[in-house]
Amino acid sequence: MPAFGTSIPRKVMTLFLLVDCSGSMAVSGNIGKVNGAIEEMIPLLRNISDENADAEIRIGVLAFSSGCRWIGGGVQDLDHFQWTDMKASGLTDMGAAFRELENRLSRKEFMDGAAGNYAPVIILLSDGEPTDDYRSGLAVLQHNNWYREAQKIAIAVDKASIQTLSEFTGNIETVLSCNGQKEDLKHLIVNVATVSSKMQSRSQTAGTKVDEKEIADQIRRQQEDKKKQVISELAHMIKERGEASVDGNTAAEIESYLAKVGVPSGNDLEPTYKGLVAHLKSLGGSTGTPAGGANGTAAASASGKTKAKVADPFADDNDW
Amino acid sequence: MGKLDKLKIALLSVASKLGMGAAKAPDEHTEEKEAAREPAPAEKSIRRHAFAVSSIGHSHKKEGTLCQDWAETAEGDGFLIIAVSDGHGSRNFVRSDRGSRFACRAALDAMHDFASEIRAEHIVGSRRANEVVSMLCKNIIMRWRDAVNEDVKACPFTEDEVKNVSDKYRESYLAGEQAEHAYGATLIALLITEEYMLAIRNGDGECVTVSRRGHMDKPIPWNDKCEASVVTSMCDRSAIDEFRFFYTTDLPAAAFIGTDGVDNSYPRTEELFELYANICTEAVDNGAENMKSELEAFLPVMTEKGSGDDVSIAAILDSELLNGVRDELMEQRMRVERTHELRRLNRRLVRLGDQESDEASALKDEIAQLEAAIRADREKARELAAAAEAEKAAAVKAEWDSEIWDDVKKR
Repeated sequence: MPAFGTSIPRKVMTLFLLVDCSGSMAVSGNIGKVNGAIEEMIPLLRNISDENADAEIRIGVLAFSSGCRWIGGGVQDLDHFQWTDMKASGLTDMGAAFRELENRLSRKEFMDGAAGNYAPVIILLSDGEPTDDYRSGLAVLQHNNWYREAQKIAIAVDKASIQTLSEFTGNIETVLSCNGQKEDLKHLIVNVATVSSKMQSRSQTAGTKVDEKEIADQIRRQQEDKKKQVISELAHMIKERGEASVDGNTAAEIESYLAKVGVPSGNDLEPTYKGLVAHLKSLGGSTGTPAGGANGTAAASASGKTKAKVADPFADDNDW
Repeated sequence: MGKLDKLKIALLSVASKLGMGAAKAPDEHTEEKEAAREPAPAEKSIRRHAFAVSSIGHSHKKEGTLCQDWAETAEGDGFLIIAVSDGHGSRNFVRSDRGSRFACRAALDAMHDFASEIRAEHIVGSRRANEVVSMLCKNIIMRWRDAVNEDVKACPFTEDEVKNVSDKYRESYLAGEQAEHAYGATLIALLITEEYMLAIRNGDGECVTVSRRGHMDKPIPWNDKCEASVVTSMCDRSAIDEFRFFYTTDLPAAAFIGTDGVDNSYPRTEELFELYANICTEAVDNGAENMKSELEAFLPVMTEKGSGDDVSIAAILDSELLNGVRDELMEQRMRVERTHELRRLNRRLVRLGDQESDEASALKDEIAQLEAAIRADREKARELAAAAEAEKAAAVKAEWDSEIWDDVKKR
């Protein structure tokens, strides 16, 4: 291959994470889950970057609470990226984060050398209402050409304002909701970051972007597939044991299975086989609920177009 | 008399007021221009050499679209000019491949006239520099618009040609209105005379210079309107105001201009600099012709691995000055190689995880050594940049002082 120097031509994709670190994120350990997710996500992103020699992924994490700050000082190469856990305290100055992002989305700042490459991916994660004038910050950001072209996905945790987050993404279909169940939030963050990075960094031409709805749909499909698989495994396990009721050990196993997909468990789980099956069936059918719905699934299309019914692992159990 | 002729006279008039000979009528000037564009005697062009290369974008090739880039050079008596242009790719710019060609030609012709009339003292350190360069930009835009209008007259838009154009523009194009929009393109052009260098840009793409001390720089100020895929254009109503420019009497060892397909292929400025440093050393070591052949073979690889976009590079190389900075350019390559190596080592270390091992310990030592070397590189680069800035500032101050002193004497 002809070459001019040691630098191999390649494209750049920058992933921005805007993370709500307000005091409420400490509730239910959400901030810990986010920290864990980012730490877990880095090697996965490195793998995506390694698998595709023609693309390089960079990452910038902007934490906002009372004001905002870039973790590690700004956008960093994945090779150098060292994660420092964020702490939750203070207010939800989302507008300040929007203004800061607008300042940095410029060739004179973070987009130097990355101009015209893959459109950036911006993921916004929040669990509550902004406490500052977010609209004026968003209005400034909306004039930024990088923002306009970016893939924007939001993750609504617990009681986050879906309305606010959809104003940021420009579309309710690209707001993914999560009730903060155990591993669910972590999985969702990792999924959104890796799927969007993978899809965007493999798109053919620099300067173009993958439709974020396509990314949200793919994440939904992955979540549903995973849920389907877990439910199927669970059903198989229960059938194998042939138990009419769930004893303590089985209940713990069920809980562990369900936690893999963030399905509510515990108090509302009926300790009977029939009740459990009914519950699982209802969960299978409820995937793809609109943003704000339970169970950590992706927000569904407002038109219902993307609502997919999970294949029923209990199809033979109609007599139940 | 057409607008262009009026502009030419205005430009010549400015030159005249600035102390050049009397303004010439366009016809008289045209004859001189033709004479000046005769190939210069070989001995005159030995030291400086200009070249231009282009390659269709990898993604354009796959889609079966035309190359919308154009790159060209021109030569006059004691000066060289290069131009690159990138025609816009969206569906409304159906003739942007021609638009980029017209942009280069307009720039080469206008700069040819400019170089024939304007001396260094009329722009460098002159209070009327902006006016003079602005006149040049106006001249280029007028020439480009004339070329577009002539083309539309000779080849009116057809229904088939505009079938994919948005409703707003389709009707206009068919009616022969707003035609310049269909030809939208960016432009970077650069002129080097025996006295000065002048570079102008409308839109994106990058200009990189190598100073006679081997310092590399992107000298043209960036137009903040060019962010993400939005760029200013030759077809803008305010096109004249969108030009940004740079001039100096400190003639470079090499000056490069490239369309955005080139700079978008390299994630870091230092890597773009390395590309240009290597083109220079290749020209020094193996001759300009060999370098050009290799570069032509490399451009398709660059677009495939990099931006996917059309790629064009034009340059003026001063072989004598380049010989003097060869070692510094090789050092540039080593600096980039060190940063690549550091990334590779960091990656290996990260993959080893937190475990303590001999391998991890050896890697950490190696990384520490490399980091020290890179810190030293950066310090040296900062010193070079500061020295270049100080020299530039001193030169400008001297010229200003001299002009102010002249004013005082006149009074």
